[in-house]
Amino acid sequence: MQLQQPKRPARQHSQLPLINIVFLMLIFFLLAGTIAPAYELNVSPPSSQQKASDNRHGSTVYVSKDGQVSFRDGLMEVTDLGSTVALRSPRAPDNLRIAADQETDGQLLIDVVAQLRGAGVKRVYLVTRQGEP
Amino acid sequence: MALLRKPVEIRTALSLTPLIDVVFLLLLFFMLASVFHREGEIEIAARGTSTQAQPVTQPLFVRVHADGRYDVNGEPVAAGEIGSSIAAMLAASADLSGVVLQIRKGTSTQIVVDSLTRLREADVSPVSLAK
Repeated sequence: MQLQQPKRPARQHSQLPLINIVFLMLIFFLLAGTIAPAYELNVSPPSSQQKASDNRHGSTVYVSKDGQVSFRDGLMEVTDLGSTVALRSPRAPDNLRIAADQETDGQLLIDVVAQLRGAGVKRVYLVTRQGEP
Repeated sequence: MALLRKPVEIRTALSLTPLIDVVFLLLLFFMLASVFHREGEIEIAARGTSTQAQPVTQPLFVRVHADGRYDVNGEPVAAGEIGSSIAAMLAASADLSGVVLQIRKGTSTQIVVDSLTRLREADVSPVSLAK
């Protein structure tokens, strides 16, 4: 009786299946994802079923959960927002976006909108996150 | 002459390791940098700042509480039917046009967006926000 197993030659593992999988994952992430926009503040926008719009309306004002306001990399008080927007652009932009955290106080949001309208911005949009609640 | 001598060709198998390195790096970058949710935009207006001509009719005032309850003319309305009931009220009265959402202190942006979305789904416009 032959108890000893025949010796197998030590085979080198082929790298090709690994490369195939990695390529597939790369293509998936390339197609399925979009590069995340850099937010100036730590903001997670409220969710909504509102359709995603491909055109972004102008530059963005960020309003964080604890009430910080940021526009073009500058932190400021809400009361200074209107004058800053007017100062930074030669003429008031027609459209601006507000990216507010989902837990931001709604009354602060109204202040921000009022400031922007006071600076001559015609339309103000609130950024939402489409999909999951 | 020594210069005319052909260089010795060394045939080696093409190494895949640098390729894998680069592909791994690309994969890592796109995994970390991608987001899968998409951004939407909803237009908001604060009361008194509208560019539209001031209408002669009165808007309907809807109070939005911090916990997501709604009061229309002081009477509570369920959140699920806020859109349809407001649309019915506006249709019933010719003196009313548009809605002003009175946002109580402490109401989160999420609730504001939910309210705007519900009214938009019921084709109620214009909607403006007030304190």
